[in-house]
Amino acid sequence: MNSVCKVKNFSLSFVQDKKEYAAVRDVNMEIAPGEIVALIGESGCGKSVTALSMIGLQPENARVSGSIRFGDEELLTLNDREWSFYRGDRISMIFQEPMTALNPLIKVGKQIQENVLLHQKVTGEAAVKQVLEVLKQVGLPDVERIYQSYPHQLSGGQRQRIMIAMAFVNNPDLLIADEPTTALDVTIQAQIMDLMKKMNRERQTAVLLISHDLGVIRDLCSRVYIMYAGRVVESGPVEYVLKEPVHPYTRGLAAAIPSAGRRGRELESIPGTVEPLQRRSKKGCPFAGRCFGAQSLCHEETPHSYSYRGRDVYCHLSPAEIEKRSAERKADHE
Amino acid sequence: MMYYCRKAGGLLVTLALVSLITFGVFQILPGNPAYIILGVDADPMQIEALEQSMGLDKPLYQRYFSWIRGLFAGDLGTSFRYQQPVSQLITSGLTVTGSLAVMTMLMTVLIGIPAGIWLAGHGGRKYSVGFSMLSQISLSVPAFCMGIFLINLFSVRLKWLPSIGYISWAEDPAGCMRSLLLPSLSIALGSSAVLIRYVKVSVTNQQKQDYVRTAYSKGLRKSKVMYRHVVRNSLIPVITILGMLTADILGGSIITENVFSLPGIGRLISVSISSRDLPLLQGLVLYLAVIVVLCNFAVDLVYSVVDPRIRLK
Repeated sequence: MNSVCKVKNFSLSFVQDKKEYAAVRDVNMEIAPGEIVALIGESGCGKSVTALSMIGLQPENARVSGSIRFGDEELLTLNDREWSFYRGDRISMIFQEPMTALNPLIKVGKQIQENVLLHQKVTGEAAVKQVLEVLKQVGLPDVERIYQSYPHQLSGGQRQRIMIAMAFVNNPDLLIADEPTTALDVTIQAQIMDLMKKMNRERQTAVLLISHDLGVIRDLCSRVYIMYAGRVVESGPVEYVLKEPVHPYTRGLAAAIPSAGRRGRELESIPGTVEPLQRRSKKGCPFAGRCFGAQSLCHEETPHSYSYRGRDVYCHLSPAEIEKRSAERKADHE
Repeated sequence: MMYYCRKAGGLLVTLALVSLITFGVFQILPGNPAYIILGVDADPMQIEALEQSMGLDKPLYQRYFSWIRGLFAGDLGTSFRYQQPVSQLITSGLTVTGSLAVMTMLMTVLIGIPAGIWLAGHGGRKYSVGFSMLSQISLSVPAFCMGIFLINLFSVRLKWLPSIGYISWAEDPAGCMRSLLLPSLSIALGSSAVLIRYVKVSVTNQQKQDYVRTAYSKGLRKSKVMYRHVVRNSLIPVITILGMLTADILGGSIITENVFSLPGIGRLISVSISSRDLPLLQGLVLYLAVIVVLCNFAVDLVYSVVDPRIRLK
């Protein structure tokens, strides 16, 4: 596959009091040009730090290994000066909180213009024109007035549009969006997602979307990576992975979405919670502690992946075995 | 605009209160000024005559308003001790104390802000121990001790700078700077230690904010993130401290002017207290209070320039 960004055997651990805690282990991921890829997982599963590492903004006490390639360049070994050529120009990022992600003392137009001037050799005036253009594209009304506004004068949705404008203004090859709609009103969420899709199509920017919203992911993304406790457990095209999930964790996740077909029935949930970083065991499958099909092998050895109907599954059990155990458990419940 | 009107209104009310309190305090003070001037053994007739000429026999509110009327005309009464108009004494002291205060403020800002920013940016554990020891010392040593120490070092031993006296700016600008260097340094060491701490904490807090991460994600390098984004946000709380330090510096100048024999407001205050020169003291207290109030007003105005969120509230 021709890819913009290729993550290989990526691991990240936090160093605290001279001890290392592995937060991300052996993650493999690939994003093709112009594609929207989703990264799903519970809070604390390592998806945000993985995404931040792709733009070099992981916390200072994080130690990384493996490889993240962007085109022909290895990103993990870039220094501050080298990063400044990539960030904001070829790779950009949208954050979760639009209320605090903008500098409160600078007019939003100026903040976007800063991006343009940093990476393009244009005059101030030409940069302003570009900013007004991109503001129009992200669907803001009265762009001249918006340009002159301070962040506190805009609503959350408007600010997230500003962030999107800022992220897209230099036509990056890759955009990382870390839960871009979580902090917004439900009515605004859909608009922002549509906008992301539109910008992705118009500018051919690949997007890595981190989200909890499986509905949005089904509509928007072509492929999905499911992470659990620092590892990818299942990955593949959205229509396979979310419609007929194989891995026990993905099954639990898919069953937890309310849908019209299951109206009136109680929502399912996965028993237990993610182990905190300090108590995670170094061996075995990360999901073993909460898995309905876990056997002793699962606690001892990390599973390798196998391909099954277009997706990769990291599990010791075959799809047939998983299906059988799931059915047994359901029978027990009833 | 509303913001400025409200602030200006507040300023007027504060000034009126300040004048009332200053006047009131000196009415409560025990001791009849006429006795102080003429001595306790004076003839009662003489005392009565003096009270009349000073207006002391009139009711309080009349005296307050005539004092206020005098204020607007620039007349603060006459000093007992110097037998000169108080306003004239204050004006002559003002040039000395004013240049001392300005120079001290400049030093405080020029030392405090860059050092605070630098410590927040590079301050690992390496420097913080050494720095906090230094700042503890400069905070805990009072300005006059620092002054004596500096005189000993720079005037007596090294003979670089004059130890006492004042040369006016008009006479000799370089000499003026030299004569003010040690006094302002002795106050500024303490106040800049305060400022450094505030700046450091403020910058450190701002560095954790989300917009800083956004700035990095744009491709800005560390130094530019600092100067374009972090510093301006960090200075907002620091402006308040600068306003408060102004009062501190004026207070510090009272003793420091005595140590360095500078003929400024501080000297006038200590003389007027020891000689019970009430009109002079009253004028000086009012003057200091007004300066502090005006400084805080200026702080509010600066706030609104720096922070757009305040202008619109």
